[in-house]
Amino acid sequence: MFNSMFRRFAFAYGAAFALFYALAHARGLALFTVYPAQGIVLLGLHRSRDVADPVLDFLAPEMYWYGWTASAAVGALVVGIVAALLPARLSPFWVWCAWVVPPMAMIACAYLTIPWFRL
Amino acid sequence: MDGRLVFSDVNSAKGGLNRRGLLSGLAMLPVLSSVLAVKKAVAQQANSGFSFAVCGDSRPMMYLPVKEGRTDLVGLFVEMFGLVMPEKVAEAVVKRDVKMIFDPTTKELKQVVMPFMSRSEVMTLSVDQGWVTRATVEDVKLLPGVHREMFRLEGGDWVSREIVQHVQAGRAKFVINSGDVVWWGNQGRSVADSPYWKRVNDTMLKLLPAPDSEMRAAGLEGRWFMSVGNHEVWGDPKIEGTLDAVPYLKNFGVTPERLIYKFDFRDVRFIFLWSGKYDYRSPSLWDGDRPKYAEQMVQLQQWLDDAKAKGLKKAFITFHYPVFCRAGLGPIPEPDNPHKTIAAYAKDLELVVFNGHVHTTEMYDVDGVKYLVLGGGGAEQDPILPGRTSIKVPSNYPPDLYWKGKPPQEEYNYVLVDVAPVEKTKFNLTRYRPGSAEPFASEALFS
Repeated sequence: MFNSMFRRFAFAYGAAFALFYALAHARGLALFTVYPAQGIVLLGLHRSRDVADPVLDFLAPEMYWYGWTASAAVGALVVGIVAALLPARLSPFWVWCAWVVPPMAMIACAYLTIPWFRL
Repeated sequence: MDGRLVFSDVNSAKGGLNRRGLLSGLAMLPVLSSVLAVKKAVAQQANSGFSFAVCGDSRPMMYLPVKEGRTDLVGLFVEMFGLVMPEKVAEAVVKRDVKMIFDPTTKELKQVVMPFMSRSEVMTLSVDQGWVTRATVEDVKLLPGVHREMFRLEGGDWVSREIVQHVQAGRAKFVINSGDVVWWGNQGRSVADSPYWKRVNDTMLKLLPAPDSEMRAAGLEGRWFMSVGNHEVWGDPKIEGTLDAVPYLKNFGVTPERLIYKFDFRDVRFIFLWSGKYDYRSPSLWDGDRPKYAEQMVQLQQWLDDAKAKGLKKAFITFHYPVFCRAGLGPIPEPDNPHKTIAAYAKDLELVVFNGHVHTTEMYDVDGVKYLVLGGGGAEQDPILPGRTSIKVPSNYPPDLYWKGKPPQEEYNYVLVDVAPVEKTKFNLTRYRPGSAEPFASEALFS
């Protein structure tokens, strides 16, 4: 029983994490922003902005990866728990998701990364 | 002789020659001729030539007042960096990266050393009475020890003094500025409160003579007209400073919600547009929203159509971001670049566009439209720094007719524009190149 629930949780969590990570990346849904040079962590997403002169982003580079990962982990945890509580006959669906969703999310992430390589 | 007597005399002379009437008429001739002469002079004046001065990017750098030691300055820098990063982070950055040096005797701020635009560039600001008087940049990795001068306060003051003298002497009728005349609105938003607007007022506005009767008749209540630049809305989104310093812009319909206007003077149309508030992701993107780009283009077309219908032959269009540019922040990107809209009128009107924004001077003649990028009014000349002298442009990009492929130098300048009804407009640029073997020179443009 526990094994079956854990299987459903694991497959659903894996698929949902990949999906939510791609979404967090695309939508900028970072749970927090890290400023490693200053040792500062701020809740939510903070983008450098400017209204008059060129951005001085290099002074305080921000990192979103931790925030995206945390957002995806929280979302996937909820989906995993729900999947674990659902009937066992849905197990094949979660297995299918675990195979299909992560490759699609990887393609989406690769697409979202394209601007970094543009000059 | 009263009116009744004249009336009876005229009646009694019906059918014959009235000698008294004839003599009165002859006596009136000089008066009549002088009236006609005045009318002719007014008509001639309306059709005669005139000159105006134009410059852009005339703002100084920061004003860093010292009140009671460091605290205010730190707050000011935090406020400035806080525009590009969260306040907590800005505080940490200022504490770590901004170094202030004070005169040990007077306790006055003398120098600020702070990061510039890239990781390896360090900017040193010299300060006197709160004003940044000199800015140098050192690339500590590529060229350590070499401090490149990119700003001198005296450059902008020289431009202002020259222009004021030209207007006072009658050489120029009025002044046009393509925007960025103040640093920001975070230290005050009126001539009384803002050190930047006070400086504009002291060095330019209050020194200009009052408009003459002809200008007043044309609706010009002052001699200084500007297009709003991105610095005018930085910390002052409702352009309180602009409307306080140049209140007569309201007469043309300028409000915080509408930053565009036009006027006619001696059969020449002057149009002022608003290109935007600055977006670091695309520093020259036309993101002006008062009104938006599409509405501004419709208005521009209406104003140019109207000029054509009225038989006007020349139009000068001023807005801050450059239509064409090979250095610094680059040109207004497509699809919101107004060149095609403007060039469509080049066969009917002589069109000249004044831009700024990029802190250097460039000049283009494209599809019959003359473009002058006037970034030498006084602001820091960062496009002279290595790595920023040119940007990547397509091989068929219009050539810059000012530097002609040479790297730009530190230069402060203004242009006198001579407008004559049947002749081509003449442009004469006067410049100050500090450190040059020929620091002062004049050059005819587009000749």
